[in-house]
Amino acid sequence: MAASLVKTRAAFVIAKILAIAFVLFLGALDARPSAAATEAQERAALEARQAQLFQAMLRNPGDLDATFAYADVSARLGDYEAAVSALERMLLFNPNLPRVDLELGALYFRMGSFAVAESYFDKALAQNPPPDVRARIAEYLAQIRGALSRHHVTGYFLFGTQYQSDANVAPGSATIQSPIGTLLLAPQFVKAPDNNFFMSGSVIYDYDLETQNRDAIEVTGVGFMNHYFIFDRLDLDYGEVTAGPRLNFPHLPGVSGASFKPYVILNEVGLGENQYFWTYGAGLEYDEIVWHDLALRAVAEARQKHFANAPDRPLSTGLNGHDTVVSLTAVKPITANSALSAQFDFLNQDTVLPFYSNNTYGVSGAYHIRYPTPRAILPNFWESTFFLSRSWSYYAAPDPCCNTSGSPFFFSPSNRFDRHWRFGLTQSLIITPRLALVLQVQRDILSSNLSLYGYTSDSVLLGPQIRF
Amino acid sequence: MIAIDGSSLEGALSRWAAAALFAVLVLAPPPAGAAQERIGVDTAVNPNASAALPGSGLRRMVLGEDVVYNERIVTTEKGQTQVLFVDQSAMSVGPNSNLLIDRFVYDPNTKTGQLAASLTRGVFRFVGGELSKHGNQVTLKTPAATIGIRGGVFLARQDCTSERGKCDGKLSVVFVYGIGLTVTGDNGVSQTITRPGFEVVVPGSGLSPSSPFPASLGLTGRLLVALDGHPGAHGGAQTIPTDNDVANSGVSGNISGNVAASINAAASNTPPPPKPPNTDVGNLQNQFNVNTVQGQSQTQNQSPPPPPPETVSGGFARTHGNATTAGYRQPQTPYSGGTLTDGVFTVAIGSGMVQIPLAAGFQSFGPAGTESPLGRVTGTSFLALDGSFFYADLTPVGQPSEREFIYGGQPVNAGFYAPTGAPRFFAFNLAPDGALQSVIPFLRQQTGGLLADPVVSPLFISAPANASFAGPIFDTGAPFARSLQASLAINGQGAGQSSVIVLFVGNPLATSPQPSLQGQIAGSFLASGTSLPVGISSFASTPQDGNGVSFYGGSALSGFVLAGTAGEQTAGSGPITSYNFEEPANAVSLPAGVGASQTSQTLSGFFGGIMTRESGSPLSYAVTGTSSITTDATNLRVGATFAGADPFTGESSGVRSLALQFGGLTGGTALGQAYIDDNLFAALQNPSVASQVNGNDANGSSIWMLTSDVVPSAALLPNGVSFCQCQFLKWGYWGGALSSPEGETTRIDAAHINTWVAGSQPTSVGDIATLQGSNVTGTYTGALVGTVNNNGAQYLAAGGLNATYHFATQTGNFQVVNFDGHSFAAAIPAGNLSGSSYSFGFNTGAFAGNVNGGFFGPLAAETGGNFAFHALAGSPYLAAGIYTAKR
Repeated sequence: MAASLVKTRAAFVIAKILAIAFVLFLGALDARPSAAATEAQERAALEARQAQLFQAMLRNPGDLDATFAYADVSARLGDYEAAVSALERMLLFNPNLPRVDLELGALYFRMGSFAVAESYFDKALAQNPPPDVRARIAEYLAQIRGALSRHHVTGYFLFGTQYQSDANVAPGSATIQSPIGTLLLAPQFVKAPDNNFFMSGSVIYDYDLETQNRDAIEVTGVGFMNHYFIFDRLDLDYGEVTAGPRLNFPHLPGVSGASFKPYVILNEVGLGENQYFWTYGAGLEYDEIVWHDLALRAVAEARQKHFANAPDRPLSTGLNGHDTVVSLTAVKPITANSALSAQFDFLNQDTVLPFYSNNTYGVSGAYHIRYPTPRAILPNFWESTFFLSRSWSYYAAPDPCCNTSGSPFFFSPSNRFDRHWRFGLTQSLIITPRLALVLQVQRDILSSNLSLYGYTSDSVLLGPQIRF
Repeated sequence: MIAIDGSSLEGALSRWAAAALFAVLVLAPPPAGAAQERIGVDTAVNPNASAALPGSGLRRMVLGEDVVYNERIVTTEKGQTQVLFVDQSAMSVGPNSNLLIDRFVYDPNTKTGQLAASLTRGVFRFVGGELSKHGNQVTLKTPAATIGIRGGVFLARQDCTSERGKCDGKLSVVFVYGIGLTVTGDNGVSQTITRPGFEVVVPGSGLSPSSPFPASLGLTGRLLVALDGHPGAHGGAQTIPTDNDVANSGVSGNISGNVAASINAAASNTPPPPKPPNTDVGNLQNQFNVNTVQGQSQTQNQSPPPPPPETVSGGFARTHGNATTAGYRQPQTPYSGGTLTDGVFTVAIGSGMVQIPLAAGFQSFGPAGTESPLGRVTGTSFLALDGSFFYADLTPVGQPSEREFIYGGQPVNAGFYAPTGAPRFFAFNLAPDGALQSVIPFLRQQTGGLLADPVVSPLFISAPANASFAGPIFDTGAPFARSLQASLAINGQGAGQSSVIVLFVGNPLATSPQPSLQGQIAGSFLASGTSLPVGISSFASTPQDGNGVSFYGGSALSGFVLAGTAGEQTAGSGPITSYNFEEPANAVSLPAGVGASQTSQTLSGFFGGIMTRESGSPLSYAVTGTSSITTDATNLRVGATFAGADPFTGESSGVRSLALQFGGLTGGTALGQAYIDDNLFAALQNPSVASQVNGNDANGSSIWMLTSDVVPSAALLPNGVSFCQCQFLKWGYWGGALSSPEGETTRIDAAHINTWVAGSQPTSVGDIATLQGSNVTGTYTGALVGTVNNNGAQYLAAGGLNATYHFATQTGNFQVVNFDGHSFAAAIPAGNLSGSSYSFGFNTGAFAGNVNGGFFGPLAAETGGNFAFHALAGSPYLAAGIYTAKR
């Protein structure tokens, strides 16, 4: 009891420190209002200039300087249609201007009209343009080929090392009240730190069905492997594939970005050097955006899990059964570069051994912010994500692991009840658009009425992330 | 018609303003001067582009010339032009086209207005300006359809069908950029394009537009070529731009030259790509239930056991005063490095040493040459013939009230624990604890440990054929070995009787680093009939020695020591007295018949006895009911349910129903039961299913049951009476305490030693009918055994049973002989039989009671059941139990 109080207090102290740091951090970011004001002034000046040049073109449509300047200013304002109309006029004056074709292609590219952009680039190439034009067109065409392809693959790899103060997620005390009396857990089952190397990857492939709503077939793959220095029996291998059609409904009243995705799930998990379990199932995902920018996601999944025992895990098949998951997520942009997310999860695990069955309710929140690298130490941006989650797990039957009668003479088990805090910070240092260095620090505090299951673990994870 | 709309996100106010303005312009004729008001400029004109004002003939278009209301633009085969409107919209018109600007209204202050044009034939491009960007109506009407666009760019081509003589041919519309474009056929059918690069085709006037589909690159390219000038034409410009002009203009710096900005802009103008699933590296262990000790692993040794050490390991314990009351102090001291050389065992214990002679078998030795932490010792020792296990009880010469205990040996080889393909059975002798100095294992002298003539069973171990000897500490339901030992002593008759029963059920478990035996002890002691019963409860295990060894032997299991701290509690609610025990066990020959029969079966029968409500004012009452016992010979399991009630005084005792749950057949219950064979089994409270009193869960239960064959005793039988040597019936004992809620309080009901009976083959209905048809009268001889409460004194009693039963009339005689000195005959009334079971009440004048029984075996070869009766006059007298008899 006292130990639990100490843990809880420590958790709140750490949470408070993180909260204060977070507020200071946000304050520092907000202390840059002059940049936005300057930007507004510059835009107003550009708009005035655009209007001025437009009048000049009306007076003399053949004024090439005014036309080029108008296209330039319009592009800087993001008024790509105005820039297009000006440059297309140049082609009526002289159809053999590969550089104008290049600019028109780039403008249509910016507008997301890749087929028209490609037509202009092809026309420019047909006119044997200078090498610099040819090179730039090649850059754009490479992008367009990806955009126009029906096949798209995006994802990332993350690998590195992780330190955990309680790598074996074991209780701090070696003593438990088991059915056979007070049992001294073997040392390998008592809290111990360890490091591991890990590799993880996540990829999504989508096949454009070329419908107007951009319906697609989506296949996702997630993989993870790690290897502990000491607890190699906890080496985890994990692979999961999902597949299903994403059906978009862009014209639903009152919402935007609505999509519906039924999918099937297949995964395989190894623990130690043996199969741990495999899963098949199905899920439904629904996404929409309401109130302009509040992104909502609802996910429901059902999975059938088949565990395999191993010489060192004779109880694993007791976890056989099915999982039902319901997850509701909301993401709200706070600024152009920051967002707040909140999530509710419900998990029902129905297992063969009734004392493994449980209902788990979880809430979590995260604040994600992207900002320029402080003091220009590195190019590009940094991203910070502060996260905090809390879950409650109610188990369905008395757990025979532990005697909770309070008397050594009567064995009376109890239903397990876990409460789990998790909080931390993920820091990404964006080195290039495709390469980032990721640092994550987190604390896990699992409190249980059965001391066997309680633990507190701090972890630090560091590694490069490659996005593609 | 083609229409371009502004953003749908524009507010209602601007739409209202636009509508109001349209109303003014459409309903009211424009002023004469307004008809010539400039709405735009010809910004590029290639030859053969002409224009005509209303009521005027065609004139050749000139660069910079104003464009006005209702102006018609006509191009021939080489003609091209671009019109730039004052709202920054632009229309490009290709060759062989005919376009009429129907309407243009624009308020530069509010950026509201309307643009409508008609394309009779030809190629057309619209690039949106302020009107379409701000949600205003931009429409283009063609012979085949009307097009409306909301912000953006589109291309259109209206073909002429010469056969019909007018231009009402196919209309192709390609949506290039914007929020959406609607094509409405003359028949009112509409299609909306929202994806750039998609096309809708209207085959002709009066026909429906097609569904949107991806536009071919060929069509898009041809339309652009038709609109973007042609060789030799200069658009009317006086200064012809060159590529150098473009390069020198610097326009590329902010457009094509900034590829990153282009990519970002394209990303913002296209739906975001789907995101790959997030892999939460920091939470995978939780996600996959790796966060349990069970989930991770079992506490068993992963590496091959170490080779047998050259030296001996074991444990040492000593008393610290009060040897017979508290036993050896726990925990004991593990050691390794002992040596047995030339019959002398030597080992260092802490700062001292133990040196004693050891010889095969049981030996006594004197103090010569001995040493211990308490000085020289005398003692007795046991050494297995192969030298693999020994123990010795030591009495220090200088402190004769103290005791020391040492044991040890060689570890059992790993191969012993592997399945052999055949069931294995083992028996061990439990020697008295040298400190407690009781005859009966696990007991103190104060609680029956010295009762005379005890029946002390061997400690049996039954190992499955195809599973490991040692099982996981958390029961999975898989078979592994079971262990059972029990002792029973009943001294005297009547109120002066003292009795004790104690049983151990356990399992060899795969503890780390070596397997060990773990189990529980339950028992009850009654010093006399007028005493309160003392409950005994404990966990017991084989301690791990200095090398982590619990079992000693080598290729076989020669011996071990069971140790623990037991608790005694009077009447279920008194103070707990704790003491320690160290019981050495050495292998002995397996008694005949053990393991001969292992059957998965269900036995049905009856139970009876007397319980005492120990909370509040003690009150004894009878309980009777039915028993159901199921054995699983494959998994070596037993589960039993006894269900009954107080047959006489339910209102006063408050026990209207009773359900006792023992053992269990599925996972999580194996650690409280032991099935050796069909004759030897026992079980404690089912840990998964609570026993109940009056339907309330008795979560504090410490009940037990076992077969009488484990502790066969004839101590109770009067002369001339013997227990039935039945083939189909088993009987045994049960007892223990139940703690259950009763209103706001807790009630405790305890049984000292009661009895049950159950049979495997209830006589079939056919056999009963045969007996009835044959007019058979069965004569049964056997015994009753039960519990008596005689004017407050509780004891066990037995007597003879002679019964007759005429199956045809269902009548007979139930004659009790010398049960606690009472003999009487009860007539069995007619109409008592249901199937193979019978039930009747009786009143002999002195006693009244009930009998519930059944016939078992072919042709009702045996009968068994429960009985309960009470005195009708004189001192209170209550008896309840079971009987067995055979023909």
